[in-house]
Amino acid sequence: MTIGVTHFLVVGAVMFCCGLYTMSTKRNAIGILIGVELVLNSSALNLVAFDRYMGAGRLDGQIMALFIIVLAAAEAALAVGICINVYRNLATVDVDKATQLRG
Amino acid sequence: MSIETLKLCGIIILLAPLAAAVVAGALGTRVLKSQTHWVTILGVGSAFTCSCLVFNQVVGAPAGESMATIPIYDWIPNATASMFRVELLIDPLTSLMLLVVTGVALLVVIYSRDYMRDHGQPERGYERFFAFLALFVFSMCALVLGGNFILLYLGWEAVGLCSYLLIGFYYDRPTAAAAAKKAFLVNRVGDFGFGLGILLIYLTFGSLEYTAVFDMVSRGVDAAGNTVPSSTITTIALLLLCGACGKSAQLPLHVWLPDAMEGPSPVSALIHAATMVTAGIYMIARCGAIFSASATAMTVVAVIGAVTALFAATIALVQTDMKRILAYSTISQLGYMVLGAGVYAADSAVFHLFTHAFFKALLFLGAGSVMHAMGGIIDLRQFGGLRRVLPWTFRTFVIGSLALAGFPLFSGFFSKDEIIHHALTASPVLGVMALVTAALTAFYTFRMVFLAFWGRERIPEGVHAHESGGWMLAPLMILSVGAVFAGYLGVHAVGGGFHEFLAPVFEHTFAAHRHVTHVAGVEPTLWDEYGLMVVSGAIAILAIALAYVLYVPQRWFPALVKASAVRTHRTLWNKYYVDELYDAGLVSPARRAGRVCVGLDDYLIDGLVWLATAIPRGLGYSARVLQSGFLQGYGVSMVAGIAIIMMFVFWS
Amino acid sequence: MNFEQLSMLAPEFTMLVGGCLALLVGATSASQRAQLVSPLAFITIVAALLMTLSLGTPESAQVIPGLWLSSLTFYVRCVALVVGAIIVLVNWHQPTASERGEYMALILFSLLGVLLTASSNDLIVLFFSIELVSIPTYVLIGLSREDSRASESAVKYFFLGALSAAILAYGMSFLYGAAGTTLLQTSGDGASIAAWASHGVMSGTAIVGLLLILAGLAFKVAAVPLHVYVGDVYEGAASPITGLLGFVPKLAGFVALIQIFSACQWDVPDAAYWAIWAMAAATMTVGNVVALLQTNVKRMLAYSSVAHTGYMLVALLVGPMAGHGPMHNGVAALLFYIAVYGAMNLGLFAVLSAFARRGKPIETLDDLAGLATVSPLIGLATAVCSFSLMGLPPTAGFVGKLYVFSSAFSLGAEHAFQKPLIILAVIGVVNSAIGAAYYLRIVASVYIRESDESPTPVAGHPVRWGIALCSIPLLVLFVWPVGLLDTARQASVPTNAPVHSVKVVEASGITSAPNTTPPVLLNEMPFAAASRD
Repeated sequence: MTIGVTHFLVVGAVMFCCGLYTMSTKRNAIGILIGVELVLNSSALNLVAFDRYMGAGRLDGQIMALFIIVLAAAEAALAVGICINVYRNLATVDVDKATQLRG
Repeated sequence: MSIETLKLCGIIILLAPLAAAVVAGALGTRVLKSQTHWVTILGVGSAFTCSCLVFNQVVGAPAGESMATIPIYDWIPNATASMFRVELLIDPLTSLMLLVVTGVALLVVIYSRDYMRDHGQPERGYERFFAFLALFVFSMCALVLGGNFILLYLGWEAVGLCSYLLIGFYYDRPTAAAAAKKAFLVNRVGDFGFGLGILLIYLTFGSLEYTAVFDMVSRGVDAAGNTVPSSTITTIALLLLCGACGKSAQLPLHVWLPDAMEGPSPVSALIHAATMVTAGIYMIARCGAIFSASATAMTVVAVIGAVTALFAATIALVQTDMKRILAYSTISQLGYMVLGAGVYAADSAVFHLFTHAFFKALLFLGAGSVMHAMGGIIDLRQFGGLRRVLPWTFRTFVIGSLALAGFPLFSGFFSKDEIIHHALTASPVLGVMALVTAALTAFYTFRMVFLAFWGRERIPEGVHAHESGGWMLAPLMILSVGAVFAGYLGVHAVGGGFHEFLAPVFEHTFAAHRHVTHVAGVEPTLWDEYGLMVVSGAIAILAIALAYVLYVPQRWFPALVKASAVRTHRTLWNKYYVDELYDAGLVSPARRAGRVCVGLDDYLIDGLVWLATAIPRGLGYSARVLQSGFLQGYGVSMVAGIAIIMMFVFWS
Repeated sequence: MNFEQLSMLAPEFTMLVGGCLALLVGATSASQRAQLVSPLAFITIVAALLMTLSLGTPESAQVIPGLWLSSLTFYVRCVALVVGAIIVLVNWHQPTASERGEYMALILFSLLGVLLTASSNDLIVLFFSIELVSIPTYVLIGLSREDSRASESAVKYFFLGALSAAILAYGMSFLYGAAGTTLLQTSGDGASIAAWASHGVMSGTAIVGLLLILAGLAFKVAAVPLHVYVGDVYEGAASPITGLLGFVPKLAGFVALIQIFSACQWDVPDAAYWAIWAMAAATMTVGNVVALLQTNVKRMLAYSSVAHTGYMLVALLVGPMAGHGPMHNGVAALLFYIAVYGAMNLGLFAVLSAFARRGKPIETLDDLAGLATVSPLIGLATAVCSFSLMGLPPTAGFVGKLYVFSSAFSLGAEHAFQKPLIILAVIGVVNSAIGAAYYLRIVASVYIRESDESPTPVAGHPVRWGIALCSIPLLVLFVWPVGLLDTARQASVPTNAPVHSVKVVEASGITSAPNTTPPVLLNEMPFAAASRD
């Protein structure tokens, strides 16, 4: 069996769904962040796969994948900052506790 | 005419007063304070300068080219309906009106600088006053300059608003607040008809542009080429007349104008004498094509004008408040103008409008000067013999009175005489009514003059009477020059070309239809031309003499009248009980109906409203379920939403 | 890339340098210097605006393959910078002096993101421009005030925003896979998404990609069903920065949608069109009915912003070439509307940030009571902004709604979606009526309701100027909408429209109607099936 683009896409889709699942079940803010990273990386995987199999030779997909990795790193840093802010105000990083705003 | 120049001037005429209003309103209370008048003087002054330029252009235009429609911009670009276009119409009528409006306004603004001060200190609301005044000039210029009915209507409503704001300037005075409300409501009645008229024009002709509509009216067809029934034209004309009656205080909508004197005197002079109230006359003249196409409507116009003129003049005979006398005289003079338009002599009506602006503004400003000197008292029973106390006010006031009374060789004489002449030609009844009104006018005007300035010097207690300063006297003097000489512009014998100047505006409308009333082929005889002048001049002189005899030597006459003709006097004093009639016939029932409506509103309408909002509220409650406040709940609902969209797209 | 091409990016560079300077100045400890930050940010934006104006509308200039300046760029630059300058005015004294450097720098970077979105011609640039808009806003909310609600708001906005960004990236990966390139348009024969889309039928992969991109951007513009965060986030953030949240991401999102749609030749499959149709209807309705229940003005305005997104989606669906008149251009209507929306929405938030009651910022309708007595001019400005949001004359909101809905009514009978769009416009009109109910409550609070304790003005001159600059143009634009509308119209038919795009009739600026879409073929590409599994 040759590995084609479809296989990568399926892996990507699985990663995407795992990310969503993580986001919706973890109550800890860091856990949710990990879910976001999974979803982002599934798109990076897709991009690289498409670049390899469908690309016009301009490496667009690979470049975008690299950028997405950078973005993921930036978001991680930002998330930690925001989590610290939340912890200072609410003394927890459990997002279920942050429900003052509703309606 | 250079279109570019006209366009630039037109824009400045509109924007300069508007900018002045905005600046005075925004910066007045904090920055400008007692110097706010400079802003308005600057704005109105630039508008006046540009009006002069426009006038110059129109006068200098070669024959047949004195009319120009100037598009400024499309409200919605390339839209097919022209009602969305902002455009100016400049023709002799417009340029003349602009000159009157901005010129009188400039003088009034200068006058107000001192008038609105109490012992040198600005009154409360000083900056508000000048902001409103500038706003009024903007609105009036928009009304006059507008090239279609939409702009006319906008200007019409805007001047009404400014009038309302300025009548109620002393809003903490209950009478002022009530007067403002009354003016607004009575004008609403007229405006309702006016609005309907414009709507009917749009429905009939599919356009609201002056040139297009008037062209179609004169050909008697609509845009599709179908013949328009004359009854439609008559209806339109009568509905427009309804608006004119409201704005120009004609019967039966005249009741607001005397009460409007609660506003500061400069406002009375500018808005309620010289400019805004003449908007109705302007509108009739502008819509000449529509009015003159319907003989029925013209008859109604003429009758309303003549009856109003006579009616208001009789009321003015017995009033004792100087400003109210002037107010009734304004109604009466406006009646003359309407009568003039109604007998196909719109150029004479506009001529009278022009001279009237000078002498009536002068009289109001003079009355304001008296009021200023008397510490706010304007009742003729409380003062008298002010000849020596207020020498300059006295002199200018007499000049204005002579013009109003139609004393020979003063401006009002020529213009009024023309209207009487045309009225006589059209119908002896109307003509005689106009002549009687002329006699009454001369009588009540000089009754006022003699009571105020002749006889023993009487000054209310505790008032330090003093002649006004230069800021107030200069406008009075300029206006009195106009009150003397403006009339000669319409006299051929001394080279006045007023009628020739206006002729292009009316040649296809009123002038073309004049044969309806004027017997064709009969050349006016010398008697027609000058005999009437002699008669009306003599009437004016006699009436003034009578007033002198009755009111100057001894003051037994008023008491005698009161005693001998109790009922007549009381009727006139109470202005024919029109206000009471309206109160009993309209206001009270309306108030009762209002109470019923409040009851209905509280139970029925509120219930319906509650029902109507119940659906969106119910939807709202169900949609709010999502807003639980839980982050992950939001995430899940977002993803679920996307999933639903995906499923919808791929399974459909 | 030479200097001349680079100079076309002068506004962007100005914003970048200004932002960095603000960071540096703010980092110095002396509070005197921190006072310099707000003027610096303001001057930066004004300078960028002047550069934009002096550059004018470029003749489709490709700077680098990923950046392409067009009439759309010009319009969006102008709108973003003008509203951005007012945002800086409103935030002038926000927050404490020690954090103002970062704060202003982040505002500038966020605006820079909008500018880049408007000139991006590549999915990569587009994606990262959008993220450049969003990421600063996460931080701004947290910085805006020392309050547990602000951090709750920040954490919600951040995680949901990150999720939407991930979905956007995932969608872009599919579009890339289908088109084989990330370039949106090319002038020549080179590969681009536009060239690919003009070849006709879209594959399943592409549709998945498009829908996910749409979803990701729907979050930025706050469209149903990705609107859920709006109420909480707006309420938690301080009022001055909520003014930014309501406008900047929305502008970027709509510009990105216009970029994507014009790359796709305004020609999406019917099913996707219906999906957007339903989204628009739901967005208008949900936004309005939920806003009706609110007593917190910020929350109310949050849901009102959802409703306005719905109106703009209607215009987006109409597209740029519906009919034959200026009233018939949906994209022009959208661009006009969003500029007006920016002013009227920001105006109300500026009013909220200009007052305090009992020592706290005003938030509820009760807090607003008696405002007109305290400050008549600001009361008037509040009324103008509210009437504009209602869409009543004499305000620009009326003109905006007129354009939006009349563009929907203007489609010819040959357009497959003529009737649905008319229905949508009717839904929009009904929604405007519902919307009037809650905006009127704001006006009623300000003017009619009496209060035992009136709000006290706390704002300095910059905020007052901000309010004036928001409300006066609303009146001016009602009287004279043509200038803005003409620019919006030019922007709606971008000058970079490539050769294989729909033909542009030079003289009238009207493009021919799009061809109706043939049915979707799902199995056109080999991997389409996989993406469905």
